[in-house]
Amino acid sequence: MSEEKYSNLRIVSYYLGKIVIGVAFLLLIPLFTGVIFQEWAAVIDFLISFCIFVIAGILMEIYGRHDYEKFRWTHGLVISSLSWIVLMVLSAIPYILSGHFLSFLDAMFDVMSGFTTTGLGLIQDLDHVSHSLNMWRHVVTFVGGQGIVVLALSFLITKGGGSFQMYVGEAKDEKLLPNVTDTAKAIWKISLIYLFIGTLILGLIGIVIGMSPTRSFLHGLWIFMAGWSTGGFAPQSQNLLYYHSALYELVAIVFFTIGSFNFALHHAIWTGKRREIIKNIEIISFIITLLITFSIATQALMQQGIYATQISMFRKVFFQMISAHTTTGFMTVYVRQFLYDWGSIGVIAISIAMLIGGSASSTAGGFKGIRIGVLWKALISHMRKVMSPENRVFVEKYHFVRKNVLTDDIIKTALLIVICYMITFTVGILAGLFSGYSLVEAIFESASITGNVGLSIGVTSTSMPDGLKITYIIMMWIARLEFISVFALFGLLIDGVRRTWANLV
Amino acid sequence: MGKLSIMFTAILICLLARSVLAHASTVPIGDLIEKSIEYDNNLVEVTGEVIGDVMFRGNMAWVNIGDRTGVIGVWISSKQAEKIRFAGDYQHQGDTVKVTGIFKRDNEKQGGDLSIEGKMLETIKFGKAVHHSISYMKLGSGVILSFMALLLYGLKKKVKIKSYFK
Repeated sequence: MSEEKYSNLRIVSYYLGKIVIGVAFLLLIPLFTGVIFQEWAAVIDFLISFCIFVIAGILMEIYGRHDYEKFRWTHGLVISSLSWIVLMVLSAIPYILSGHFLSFLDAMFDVMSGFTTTGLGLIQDLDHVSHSLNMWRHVVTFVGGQGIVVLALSFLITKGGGSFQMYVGEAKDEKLLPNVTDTAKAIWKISLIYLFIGTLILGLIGIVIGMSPTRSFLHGLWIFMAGWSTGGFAPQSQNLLYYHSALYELVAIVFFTIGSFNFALHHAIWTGKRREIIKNIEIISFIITLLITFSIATQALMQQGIYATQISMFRKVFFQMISAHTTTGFMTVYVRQFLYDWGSIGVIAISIAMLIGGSASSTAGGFKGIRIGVLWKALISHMRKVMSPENRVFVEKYHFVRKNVLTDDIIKTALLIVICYMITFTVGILAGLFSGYSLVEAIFESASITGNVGLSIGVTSTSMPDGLKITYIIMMWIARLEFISVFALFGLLIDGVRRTWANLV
Repeated sequence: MGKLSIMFTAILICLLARSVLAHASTVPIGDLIEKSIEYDNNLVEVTGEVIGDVMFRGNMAWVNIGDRTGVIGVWISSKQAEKIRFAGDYQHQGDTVKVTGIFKRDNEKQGGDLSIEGKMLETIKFGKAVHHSISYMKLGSGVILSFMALLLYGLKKKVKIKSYFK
């Protein structure tokens, strides 16, 4: 093995080890939850998992090398993408030990779904799961939403080059503060403050609707974690339908909608720039596309006479639409109702909403509102240029935290990422079709996976072919990291294989 | 005579009602969800385990019942719901109950929830506390892995201290 390749591997290994150890400490949260509720069998599962994490992390760190001078962009991107795969495998250990999964592949599917804040699940008998396992599921989705690398940067990687490369590799590029470690800490500060407020509010509502105080606050914590991270996991198998409460749903909508906003927007509002909420291109784009898709779905369902009253119609359709558009994936209808009640037009409308998604540099998935806004402005600008005198000069601008000029580079980048999403979406449809599902089912589920949404039409289940499970895992991973860091990883792997082959031949 | 007639009529109505309710068709919950249009506004009977919470809301309560095919919410009087002793969770097997009521694909009074407007709840089997035994193999593995983790941590610290003094 050449010196350079050896060095690359050791640099990646060192930082991976750090990230694994960081996530290991998160396992102490469900472990202590199990102690509090005397779930001793689950406590042992988490103790075993914690030890495996620590051993794996330390071994990677010992093998690795902390080398500032040699750290390059590629290393950062590879660490970001590879950490998600390594953590998927390790984090599946407590799941499989719990006995609530039929296979290790199912467990990995759930982990990737959690980390990518998708929210589709293959867990068995969710209604009888321990509090500690539910805590782990929701911690995974909460951390995944903020970013695993963001977590590591906040608390573990205190100095050295590579921080920004890893941060960007996790599909975040907003620099709230000059230093990327301070930016990561600011993101966590915002999230934790909202976590406290959200848990309190949802906990109190839970008591009002008839739950016991303990369960109410636990559910409040988990629903907030899943909502804020736009993950969509819930502690009961009926998802948000379990609570049968318009108030609970309304509060959940507020939190998951705010969670889908760009962290830079949060920071701008917290630092006094309140007008940003009405000037921001992503918010404007989100409202317009939400209204359009909601109108289409409502019209389709009205024609079919699915809901007898306006109130039922609004409550069900609006909730599902905003849950889809923010890529949260909370459900107040049963999975099969999308197929049997919503019809093709309703399914297409919600699929479009899922693909468009939420804001960039947030917990949400999808194409992102800013790209839709940018591409729309680019289209309008181009049409104006074509219809105007040749010597007229146009400078198109858009507002995102500040006024920005719409350059060809920005348009090209936005278009490339949207094309990558469309390719991923198409691959998902084909995989669904080849697995024997109908076109409507394949489109809906692929849109949900591509946008990291988590709504399901019934395709995602333990009876799904293994090939489709693996395809969906890869799709969730690639879409969450927005392609670049995954391409860097594949590039490095292909380069490694090529060099090894050249040495052998 | 008048009072006797009233009493006789009341008994007859109760018997008739019971007979009607007893003849409701028993349906797996999954079927109600899959064929919701077919069962809409029909009298149905479901049997399943009470799960989660019995959520009392004034005179009425929400009870979520699950069988092997699915879980559904039942909107029923608090008096009926008070019969429930255990709701299923990690540490409890919930009561197995038989509920008879009107299936609603779109329950207008409940914001469009697919649910059952329960008329009668009967306990088939009371629930109980569930004990999750500790596997000694897992316990042993946990102890061994803990030692290994501590050992490695010590080794890593030693390597770090040695390289600091080099």
